[in-house]
Amino acid sequence: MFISAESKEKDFEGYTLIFPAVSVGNVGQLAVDMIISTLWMERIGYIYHDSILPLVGNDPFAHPESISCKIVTNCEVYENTENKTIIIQQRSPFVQGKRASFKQWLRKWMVEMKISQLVILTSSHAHERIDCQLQGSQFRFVTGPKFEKHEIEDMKSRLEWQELEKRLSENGETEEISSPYIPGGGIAKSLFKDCSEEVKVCILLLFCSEGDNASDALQLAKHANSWLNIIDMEPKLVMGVDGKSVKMPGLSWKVPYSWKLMFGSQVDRTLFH
Amino acid sequence: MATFFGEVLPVISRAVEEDDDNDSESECFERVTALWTRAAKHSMSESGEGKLSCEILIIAVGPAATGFVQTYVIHKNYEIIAGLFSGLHEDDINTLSQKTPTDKSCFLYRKKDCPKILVCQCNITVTPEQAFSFTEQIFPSINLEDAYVSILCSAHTSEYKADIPISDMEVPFLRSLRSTKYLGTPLAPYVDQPNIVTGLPAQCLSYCQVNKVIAVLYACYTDSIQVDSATMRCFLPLIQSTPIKDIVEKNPKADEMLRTIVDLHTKHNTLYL
Repeated sequence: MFISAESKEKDFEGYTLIFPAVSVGNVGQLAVDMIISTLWMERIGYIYHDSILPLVGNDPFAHPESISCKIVTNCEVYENTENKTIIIQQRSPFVQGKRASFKQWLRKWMVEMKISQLVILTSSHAHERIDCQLQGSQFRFVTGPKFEKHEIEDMKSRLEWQELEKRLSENGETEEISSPYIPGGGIAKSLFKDCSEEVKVCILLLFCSEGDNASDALQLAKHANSWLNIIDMEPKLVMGVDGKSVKMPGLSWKVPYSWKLMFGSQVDRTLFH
Repeated sequence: MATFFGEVLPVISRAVEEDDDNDSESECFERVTALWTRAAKHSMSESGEGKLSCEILIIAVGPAATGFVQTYVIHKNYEIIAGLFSGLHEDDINTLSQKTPTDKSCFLYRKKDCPKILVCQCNITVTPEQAFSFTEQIFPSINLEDAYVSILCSAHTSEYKADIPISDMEVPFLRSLRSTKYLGTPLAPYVDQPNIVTGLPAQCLSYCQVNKVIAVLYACYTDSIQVDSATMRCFLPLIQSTPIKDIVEKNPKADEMLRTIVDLHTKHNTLYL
């Protein structure tokens, strides 16, 4: 269930919800980390659900010099009121056999909170690509039935995005629109299927392999931002104190402090002497 | 996936399993059941809201923390008021008193002369999957509104990531995390990035965080595989901390008890016979 960090009631009418699926290389989760960190989004609550494995830690977005403690839990909700965006960050995998109950809860919650659009960020095994996917952009999108034709056209022409290729199913027919082929994509596919009737939903994904997926995450975050426009990267002219206009740099991507030591602790260098 | 030299390797992902988007999979863990003694049930019914009143709750997870608590906190004047059982196998040796290292039960103790002090001893591994049901079994029966919750656990230093090599650090060492409601400064430095705490201790602290309970978690990082007295003594500063210092009584036989606990865990290990 959703537990608000403050006591006031929350209403997310007209909001876009970004949800990362735990997927290959954790690309969705990392991309979301990047967005939260860059926008300094506010944590507004927790999702306390028996389907997610427990985890606690110190604030992953804290300043490196910070010596305080602000604990994070396995699944939290972040908000940016300016852009009417909320993000659910899931930090640990699902308990086996519990995915269905989480999806059911999430669907109900989105309807209750009147979320207008769901954006699922995920990734798919690079080794499952077909020939035409090997070269060029590794980014793909899938839209649900609630998307208008012109919106899809806009994604294709203005943003130069490519729709995920349809695959032949086992009996030789092309797959239905409701079930895209996303191996390694976690709950993205089934969540998309479950929610597409009620909510405007789309999947943004990247083909990748396990490894250092920081650059994949940045790429996915950039794609999401080029469409949603939640982070303003453009430099701005601001009136300075002396009356002259000064050019202020726009926001730039901020890597969360918690991404450090990705390959473990430092080791004793004398080992290699 | 084929490598550069053409070998075909099975590709495994740290984030997702193959074919992980399957709703029909079933839960593969047993839920925890709690059995309360008659005395405990009586106190619950007397309290009006059906909960045990509580000022201090200490939760010890793992052999090091339970060994410490057994020696320095509950060595005198404590009674068992509940047992928590998380799946016994037919061939498990269980004495229901945690006298063997394989005892698969956790116990909730209460101080005889001060019934508002509760101690939970989890000597066995409660799997991360079972952690949620563990907290659901015990916390709703305790009134934690004004309680101080202290969670003790241990982990191996190989799980700890730091800027300096672990071999240069003095082990064992303590790290802490606190819930937002806990306003004091814990006795140990906070768990620093990118380290996290998982499993049952994480679930307990998450519960306290979302339910606005005053809680602090201490994790002892040790480099010994079996429990040893140095690791158990690592928690010693805590018995001088408020409010725990007011409830502990000196144990003249502490060293002897520690030795028995170490023996209990090393007896069946034939590596250095």
